[in-house]
Amino acid sequence: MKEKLKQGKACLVKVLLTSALVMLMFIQAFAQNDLVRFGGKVNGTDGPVSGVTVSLKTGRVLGITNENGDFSFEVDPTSTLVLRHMEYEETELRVADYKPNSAGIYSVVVTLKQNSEIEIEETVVTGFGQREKRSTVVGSITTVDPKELKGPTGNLTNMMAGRVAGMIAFQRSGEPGADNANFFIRGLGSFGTGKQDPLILIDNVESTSTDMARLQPDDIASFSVLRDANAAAMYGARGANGVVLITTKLGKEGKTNFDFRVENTLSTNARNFAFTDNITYMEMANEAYLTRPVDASSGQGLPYWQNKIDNTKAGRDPLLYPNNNWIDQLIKDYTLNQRYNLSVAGGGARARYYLAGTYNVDNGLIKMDGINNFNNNIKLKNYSVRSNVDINFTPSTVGIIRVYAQFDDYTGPIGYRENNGNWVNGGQATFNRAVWSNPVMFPAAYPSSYMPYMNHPLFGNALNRNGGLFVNPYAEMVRGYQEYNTSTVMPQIEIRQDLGAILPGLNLTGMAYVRRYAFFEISRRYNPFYYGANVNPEGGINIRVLNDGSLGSIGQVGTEYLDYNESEKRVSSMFYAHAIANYNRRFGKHAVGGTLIGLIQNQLNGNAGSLQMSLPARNIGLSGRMTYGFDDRYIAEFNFGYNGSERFAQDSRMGFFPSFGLSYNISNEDYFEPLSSTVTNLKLRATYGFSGNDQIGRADQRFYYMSEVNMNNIDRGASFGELGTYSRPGISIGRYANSAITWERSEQMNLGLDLSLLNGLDVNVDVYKQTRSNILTGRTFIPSTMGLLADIVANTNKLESRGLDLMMNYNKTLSTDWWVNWRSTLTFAQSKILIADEPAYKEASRYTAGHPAGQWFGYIAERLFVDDQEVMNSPVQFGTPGVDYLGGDIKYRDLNGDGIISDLDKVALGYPENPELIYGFGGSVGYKSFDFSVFFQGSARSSFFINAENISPFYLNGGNQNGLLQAIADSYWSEDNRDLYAFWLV
Amino acid sequence: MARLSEGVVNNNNQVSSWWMRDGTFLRLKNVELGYTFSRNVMERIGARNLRVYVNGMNLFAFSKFKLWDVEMGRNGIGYPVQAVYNLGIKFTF
Repeated sequence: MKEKLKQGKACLVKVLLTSALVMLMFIQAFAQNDLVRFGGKVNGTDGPVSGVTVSLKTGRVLGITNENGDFSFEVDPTSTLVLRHMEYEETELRVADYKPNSAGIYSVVVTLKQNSEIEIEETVVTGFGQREKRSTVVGSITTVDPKELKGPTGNLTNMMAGRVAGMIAFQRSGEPGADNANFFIRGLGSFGTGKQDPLILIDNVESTSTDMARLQPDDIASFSVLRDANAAAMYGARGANGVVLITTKLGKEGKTNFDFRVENTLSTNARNFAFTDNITYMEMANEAYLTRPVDASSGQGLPYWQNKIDNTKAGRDPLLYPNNNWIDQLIKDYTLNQRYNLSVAGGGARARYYLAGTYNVDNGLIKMDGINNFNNNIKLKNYSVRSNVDINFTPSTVGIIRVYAQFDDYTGPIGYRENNGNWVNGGQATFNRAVWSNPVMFPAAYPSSYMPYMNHPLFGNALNRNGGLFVNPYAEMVRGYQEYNTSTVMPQIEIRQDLGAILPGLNLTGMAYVRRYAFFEISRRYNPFYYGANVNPEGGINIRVLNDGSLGSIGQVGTEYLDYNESEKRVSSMFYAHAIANYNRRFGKHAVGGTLIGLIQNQLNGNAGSLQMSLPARNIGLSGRMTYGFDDRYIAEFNFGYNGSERFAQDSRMGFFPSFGLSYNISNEDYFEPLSSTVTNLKLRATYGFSGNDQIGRADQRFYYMSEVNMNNIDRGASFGELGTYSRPGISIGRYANSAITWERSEQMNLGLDLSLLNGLDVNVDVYKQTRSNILTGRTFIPSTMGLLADIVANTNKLESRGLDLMMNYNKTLSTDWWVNWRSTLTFAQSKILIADEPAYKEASRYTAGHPAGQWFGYIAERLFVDDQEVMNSPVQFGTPGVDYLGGDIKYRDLNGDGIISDLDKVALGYPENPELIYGFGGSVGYKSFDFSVFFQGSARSSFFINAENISPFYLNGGNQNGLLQAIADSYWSEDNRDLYAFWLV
Repeated sequence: MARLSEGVVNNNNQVSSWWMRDGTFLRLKNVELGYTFSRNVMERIGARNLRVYVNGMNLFAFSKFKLWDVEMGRNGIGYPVQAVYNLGIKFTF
């Protein structure tokens, strides 16, 4: 890899030297005595034009105009010069037509005529940051005006749903630091453990969704999404899931421009869960106890005595008769956040700059306890600095230096790790515990006046029916805090060399960046002291410590000091470089273009954890594009990506991903002329091609082509000797080598239509079909009699997805005072598993094949059982009929009629969890100085399943005991009210 | 809700259509009202552009599902999606 990089550098130096040499030769050749100095300024429609190729009519190229449109060459007084530029008509200058000044120098001002065949129009950022005219784009690329992504949020990803045609996006959490929306280009293109989300490139830097979330729309110059294989083919094995391409702004020549934005935000829960009142809670808890067979051996009676219920109802001493609504007690009604963004842009002819700084504060809704000397609420501060500088080193050489540094400082309540290894953030944990905590057995805390000499909060608690302490959600929330800091630093350098002097239309770009990321996390907490209360015979209450470590102390002993815990630190480094040669030229009616890109990428992980994981992750690639346009009517494009990934065996490491596209600008046809007064653009596009995904399998299983053998496995060892004290470890296999493992391959077809009307309506429609094959999966149904030690994986699965992306925008200025616009998008993406690793089921309903990715399977609920009689006369469900389940419990359909409800009766239920349809629509209207806009966003065709254990009231799980949601109190089966569909349709 | 219980009833906690809900929604994602100061005012304070605005996000949602914000789906008892009211100033000079 290093070798190649060196070669690349050497190559670049050679090219530069050669071009310098060629220039010198030109100068030499013309350094004759009878030559005259002929120079001047070239203007276009918007002032000076740089990069105009000046050549002799005889063919020799003299050079190009500089950034001021100036040129000056020594030429023969009888010669004719030709000026050429993409956007202007070819212009000839006869030296003899002009008069020199007294010093014998010619100084002319030329105004070029705009090329009538090419209108100046918006450009679209396509693969590798290349710019292409909208009319010549063949692939399916959607662009969004960055202004549209500016909303009252510090998280860019929250603004994408419904605004980006072709993107399925949704947001599952509002917790600062964990509120990134999930987004997928054209829905899920794959299933299993591989990467499913798109490749995100910010100024060509491979980025995470958090990097993207922190971007300021004010700093974004362009936002494009490459949806089909033709657009993404150049990314080869990284492009199958679509590509989000973002570029940031560069400075503009002229007066310094300061842009300052300040926002102050009030943030509140879109919807809180509603608990019922605690009298109902206790009465229903008693009912729950009575309505099931009582386990006599437990010796426990009713959970709540009538005395307690009555006293609570009367509002007597709330410390003795607690009456908590945990949401009210843990969660603030609102929080205030601030955002500041400043940018300074400007520059001159030689260099321009865009500098930006951002400071955002995102606070959580978590309450604090005054007795603590720390803040346990969520506070996420993020700040970033950006410096984009572009310099004209020579009239034909531009250097761009971008430096971006972004930092997150977070403090918040302490999260925890679930049994299944998933991390639960502190904010999420707080809301969870609000639902999972008993509201009437203990107060959050007793006033410190009860024990003024204590330095710790007097948290309330009580014994639960398992003999342990309850979880006090308030204590859990305020007992400590967690801090993390992240730093991302990305310096980048890019050099663009226009080689128009050698070959008009040719330019070279070289770019390299380094991305360093660091993360560390610390938490500090104390163990809460818990107190219980009882009635003081003299009136009032006494409180008594429950966990001070003395005899009879229950649970974890309290502490008054903080302990300290540091978690893993994550550091990583990425190096990336690419070189691009680009050629674009028109010959009369023929426009030809070609691009060739070479890239290398090297990623290092500082805390990989194992030898194999610690090895650098490398990719190399060669990509290219060839375009041919005839008369601006027909455009053909061929793209390819040729990629290598270190994840695959040496002889099958490289993959070739070609794609083809055609587009037809009907509106440029002669016969279309009569319509051109209403239809300004009508274009059809068709593409077909391949792209890939090498991010397959689990991260800890990188090298499927290599075996992993543990030579020191004690579990497989043997002991020797009379006493068995001498033992030797054995050998075990963690993975079998499989050199055939390869990338996912995506075959895509896309048909598109672009329509623009003169009255301001723009419509883009794309329909597509993708087949993703070679999806990696574990072979789950290999019999154990094979004697394999490790799981087998193979590229067996296959998924098809198809859908529609629609964008419809309308802009109109009605009068000098009034303007209106309308924006709408619709994204429909549906997938179907073609092949899944499944055994031959007897019941066709059990196959996941034929269903979308993300489809849930479960039982069909018929209704609740009417009574115990029906339970006894129905197929056996879960547990013993009449004991484990009774009348009023859920009755399932015995689909296969075998008299038992089992896995065989499961069927696909509802829609997949990720929506298949996302849409958005809205409009703006402006009148004089006022503007008003509204945007609606919708989502359809998705189903989700409530986790019953999360919300079923009274469940005692460790120290958690579920609260009672109002919706359940309003609709439940009881012996008096046998509602067979209670809560189902809520 | 099925028959109440103090303990986990395995029968009722299976993944089934009983607990399935429709994730469909339509929400008022953004509203914004802005005012751009007139050229006179801007020139007096030396600004090229000055705009003040109030906007909001996630202000309400239409959905059949009422227990929590429907977009959260299965993660419903987590940290809710936020409704946001905002005041902003953009100043260019």
